[in-house]
Amino acid sequence: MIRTALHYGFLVLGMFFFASTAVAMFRFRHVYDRAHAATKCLTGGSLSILIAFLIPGHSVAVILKVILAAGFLFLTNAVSAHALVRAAYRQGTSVEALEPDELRDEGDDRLRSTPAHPSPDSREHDR
Amino acid sequence: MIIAALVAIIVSAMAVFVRLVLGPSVPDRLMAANTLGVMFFTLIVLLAGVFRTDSFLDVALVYAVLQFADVLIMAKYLNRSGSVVST
Repeated sequence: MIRTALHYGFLVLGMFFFASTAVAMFRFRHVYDRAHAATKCLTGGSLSILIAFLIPGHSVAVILKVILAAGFLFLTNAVSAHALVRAAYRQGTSVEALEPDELRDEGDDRLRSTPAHPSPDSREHDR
Repeated sequence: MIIAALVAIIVSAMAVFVRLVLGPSVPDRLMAANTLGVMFFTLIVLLAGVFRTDSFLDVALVYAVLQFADVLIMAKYLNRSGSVVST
């Protein structure tokens, strides 16, 4: 009984997180907002559905595989989103969305090469 | 109930696919592609439960690894300034 309730609860939670990811992909306006949705909501929804998959009881091999996949997803989704956001920032994609631009004064000239002050020798540092 | 979860995942994936088509810049599309990949990964795991085929889990694991490598390679490619990709 409790097991069934937990199964349904985690399934509904995962469906809600996925639906909110889909809504956020539409309603958010910039890449960085979408990255926020694509890491938190997506990882939470996927982990919820994987937990709901594990609850009815399976063999040990299935449980180990699903736990391995869930751990891998939990680690790598944030890493790939971080890499994507960094690439978007360096290309200058909608930088005006970041009102306090905390990466601008970091002394790293390779960040934000295009829009504001294109230094003439920035290209040869990039390789 | 599993079927309802499958339908919810597919509807969300279709909505994200519209963002992948519409996305104004290349990082938008890549973010939508990453989201689609994670959704299909979850779909494959649920299908392993529906069809009672444990080998689908191996498919899902390899799919997750390949998708991670794919997104990292694309981000590395985008990191070069002066690349062919316009924003």
